Amino acid sequence: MLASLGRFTIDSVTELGRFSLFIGRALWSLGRIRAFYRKMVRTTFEMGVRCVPIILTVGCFTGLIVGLEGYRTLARFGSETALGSSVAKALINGLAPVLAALMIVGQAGSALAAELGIQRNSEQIDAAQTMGINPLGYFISPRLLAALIVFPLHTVFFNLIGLFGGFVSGVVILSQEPGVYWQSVGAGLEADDLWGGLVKSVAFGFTVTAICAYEGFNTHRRSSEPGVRGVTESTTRAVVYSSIAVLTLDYLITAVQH
Amino acid sequence: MSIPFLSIQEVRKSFGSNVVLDGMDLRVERGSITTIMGKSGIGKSVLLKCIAGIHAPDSGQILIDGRRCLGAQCGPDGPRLSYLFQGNALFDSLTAVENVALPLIETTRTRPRVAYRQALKLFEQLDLGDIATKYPSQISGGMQKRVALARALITRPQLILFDEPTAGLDPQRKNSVFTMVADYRKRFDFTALMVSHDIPEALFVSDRVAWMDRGQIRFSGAPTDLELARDPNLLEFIHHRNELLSDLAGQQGRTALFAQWPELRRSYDHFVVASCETERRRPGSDLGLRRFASYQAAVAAITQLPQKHSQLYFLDERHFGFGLGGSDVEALTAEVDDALKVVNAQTAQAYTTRYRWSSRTYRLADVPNPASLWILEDQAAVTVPNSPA
Ligand SMILES: Nc1ncnc2c1ncn2[C@@H]1O[C@H](COP(=O)(O)OP(=O)(O)OP(=O)(O)O)[C@@H](O)[C@H]1O
Ligand SMILES: [Mg+2]
Repeated sequence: MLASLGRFTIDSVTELGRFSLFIGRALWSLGRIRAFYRKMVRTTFEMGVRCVPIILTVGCFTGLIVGLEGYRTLARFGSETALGSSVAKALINGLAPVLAALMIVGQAGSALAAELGIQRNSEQIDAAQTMGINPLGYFISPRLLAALIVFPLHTVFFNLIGLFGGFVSGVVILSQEPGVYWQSVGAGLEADDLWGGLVKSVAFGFTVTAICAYEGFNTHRRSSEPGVRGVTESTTRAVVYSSIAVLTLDYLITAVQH
Repeated sequence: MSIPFLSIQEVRKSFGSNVVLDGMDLRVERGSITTIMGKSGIGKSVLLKCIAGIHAPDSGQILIDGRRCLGAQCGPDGPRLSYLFQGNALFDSLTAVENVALPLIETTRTRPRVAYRQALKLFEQLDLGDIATKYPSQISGGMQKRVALARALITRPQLILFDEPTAGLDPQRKNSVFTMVADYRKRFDFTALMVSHDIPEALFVSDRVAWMDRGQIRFSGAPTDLELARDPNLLEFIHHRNELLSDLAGQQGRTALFAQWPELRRSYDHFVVASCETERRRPGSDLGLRRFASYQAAVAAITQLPQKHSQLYFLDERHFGFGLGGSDVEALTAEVDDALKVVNAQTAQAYTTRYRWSSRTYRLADVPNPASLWILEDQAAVTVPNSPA
């Protein structure tokens, strides 16, 4: 029992060390990437476009629900006019970064892990190495950077759609005056919250992409079975670990912010 | 002796308890083409991966051009190496031409447009014209192989590791790959280490050939020395065709003959070797299919003889042998020759090429083992003209 606990600790620390090394090397190789802008644009575009539908859907529904619930609660205190503020508050530094990050994990993170797993299995990563191409620089670094763009962008996008969802709930369904809603939204916006949300999304983006990339890249080393099973395992692990990381980070950052 | 371009010394590599390379030694001369042969799963790909730096050997060292290379990173001024993977390892998110141009774009100062132009030129040579803009998943396995070959050649490497460059290609494409390897070697002067099972095609373009078995190189030499090798596993491997034919003819081969020789000497007085001469006036080559048909006819004719004789042993595609019992050897051999003459007459009608079977008879008392029989056969071939007309 004690021994297995010890082994678990050692394994975890080793793994964490490897993970840090992986990130470090990926960042280090950033400097020597050829055709940097072309690759960045391509990766960002791929990652970003892939997630638009899911962000659109989830953002809209989140706004709708927050709007409905908020309206009902506020109405009890006679302060329905504060609906806009409460939707904005709920989204910007709370729901939006977390939900957007979770959705991107499901959509793009899993795809990233699977893609790298397949590239590992079909020896594409080894091939890059023999060609003198740094695999981390070629396969990983552009994606890490792209995440730093895609996550905040999608968080902002999520916010806008969410506010629109709140608008639909409050104004279209519950017939609040549009002016009242938007004015209240404006009043509820605070620079701290906006920054807080962005900081979170950047932190999530980096961590999540690093985890997914790490799992996919090491498919051959970490999976009990090679081949298709290996890819499935890495993908599952990537999604689970990333989701846990998002929630944990959210808690930590929020605690620090207050 | 010159310093080898690639030198592998005492390399060991295991995966868990599976020992794959067990003290491997190999030297590859600069500018030569060396072919490695060996059974499936014996570790040829693992060896190439150790050289390319994908696997780290457990012990031993690998020197390329006198340097110890860790990984493929021998530094920017180190020897350029490329690797044609057994599974091609093309990047599936890039088109064929992007794949080929990739190493140029990523590792040299070549402008993309120039790189693409060079890649397209290589495509033409490889007979790959119109697939440049297709993705690897959209082209056939043989084409993928050639795209991968183009990718390996485009950087003008000094050392190329070919892992079964012709697997999955049709015979003509196979030949064009070998021709290209030979031709490129002349023009760009690289050193090649090639894994191939194409016997004999690969041997024609190779300067050296190495046979790998049980974790080591068990034979290494010029292709022409291959026929002098003693290792029974190697002989079996290179004479796979004989094995097929002896199986098809339903006969036991030379190994059995060696084992059963004492028994034969006890039970029979004479040993007859039937051999086939091919006579043809026009130039041309054949696959030996007609000869094998005549072989089977000869075997059938002998089997039907009423005399006491042993089972027939397959010696090679134009020889078989058997023990013959009885005292009046003159009469017996005459009967054998008569039977063979009938076969000769039949095949002469069927084919323009003549396959002439004849026989030679040896007293088993004079022949202690089959090896001395070969010596007698050699002398007979020189001194005795073809017997039956
Ligand atoms: N990454 C790996 N992990 C564990 N075992 C491996 C690995 N790569 C190869 N092996 C083992 O090493 C042995 C040799 O494999 P290798 O692929 O080198 O054979 P090969 O000679 O190239 O065969 P083939 O002619 O079929 O390509 C096999 O038993 C294989 O299971
Ligand atoms: Mg192999």
